[in-house]
Amino acid sequence: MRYLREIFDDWLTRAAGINFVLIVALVMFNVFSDLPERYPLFGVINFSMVPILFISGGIIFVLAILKSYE
Amino acid sequence: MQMNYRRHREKLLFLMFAGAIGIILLVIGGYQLIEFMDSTSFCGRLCHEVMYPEYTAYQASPHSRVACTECHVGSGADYLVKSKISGIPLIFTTIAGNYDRPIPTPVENLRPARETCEQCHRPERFAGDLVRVHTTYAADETNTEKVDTRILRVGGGESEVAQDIHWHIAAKVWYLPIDKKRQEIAWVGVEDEAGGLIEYVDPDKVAEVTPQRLAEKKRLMDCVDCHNRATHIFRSPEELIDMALAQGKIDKTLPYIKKLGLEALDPPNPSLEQAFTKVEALEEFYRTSYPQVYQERREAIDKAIEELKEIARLTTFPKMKVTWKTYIDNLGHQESPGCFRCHGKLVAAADDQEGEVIDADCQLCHYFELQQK
Repeated sequence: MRYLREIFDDWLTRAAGINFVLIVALVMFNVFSDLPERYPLFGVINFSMVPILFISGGIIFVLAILKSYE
Repeated sequence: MQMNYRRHREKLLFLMFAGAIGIILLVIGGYQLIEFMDSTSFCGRLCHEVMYPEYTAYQASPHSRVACTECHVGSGADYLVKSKISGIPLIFTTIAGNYDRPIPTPVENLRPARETCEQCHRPERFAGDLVRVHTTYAADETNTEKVDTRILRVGGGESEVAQDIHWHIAAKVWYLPIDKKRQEIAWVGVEDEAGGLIEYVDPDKVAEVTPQRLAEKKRLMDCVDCHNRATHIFRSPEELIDMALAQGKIDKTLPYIKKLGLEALDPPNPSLEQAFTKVEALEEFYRTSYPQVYQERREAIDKAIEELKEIARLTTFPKMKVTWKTYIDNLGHQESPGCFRCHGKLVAAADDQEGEVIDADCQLCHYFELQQK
């Protein structure tokens, strides 16, 4: 736990972690659930979230690198 | 970067690990997104009101197991990208409610049938003659049955030996439509073996056949020029009731069932609920006018009402202003000019052919021998 606490000791890394967990959860949900097929509007939002989260993850990554230079 | 700090190194490792896994997940998620956007549920149900008539007709059509994108997009990344880009303005049109009611046809940029239909159907196949048995019922007490048998000379075959109706696909037939619905054809050009064109023109529209127009607007005839409603088929209540009676979905021994069904559904109702109310009134008709039938055949009456409700669902689209008369079906010539857009109308343009008209003889596409027997 102490090891993880050390990695996630700033808000950027925490945001990256949350982002990562969300992407994994979304992809898994989309693999196993038929809800997006049954409710197409929900499906559009759901499937579109993966690239959106990935882009936001990329921004967080760049910010984290820049911050580590400070 | 201060890589000598263990904490920084671990953070960077985590970010790189998360990024690498993220790329893999993006590929999976992107694939899921494309697959979802190619699904029938996405096309038919997301823009519910706009697509409702098309989606409903599609579900009852011979192509109901073929995904929308198989015909409207086809294979290949270029068409996938093109279709997504051309779809972007439609999102805003749909949200704003600015779309046409009904949706105009034909679809301007539909991919050629050679790249869609012909991925499953092989036009070179010689189909021979097709016997069509058409059963209709009169709107009288006994629903008098009439059976009409037609023979269609479908033909087909490889280009050198192709014949009959499907010759049009084996040969290279170009045509110039001068209206948006492609009903007014002013020029036809059939490629001969030497690569030249045997031309035919509509004598009333010669002035509209200009070289520039020919270069820009001429089309190579393909499947959808005749089979233009191969999937989104809007049949009339009469046709659907006849089909249900012939298939036994509606008991043809129920008195006046054809007449009652027609009265309930034709002309089209202002809402599906009203259509259902009219159909449900059939029960009252039998209870009061045919009490014995009502007592003994309750199950058949209920089944007929359910089937007529299904027919109402396939024919009532007031929000999109679609009826069975909205879209022209070019197959045949019963309800629309169809074959006679060219046949019996256009004349040979070459001087040596002395204005020979494209043949409109019934025997070109039909045999009547079986009917005579």
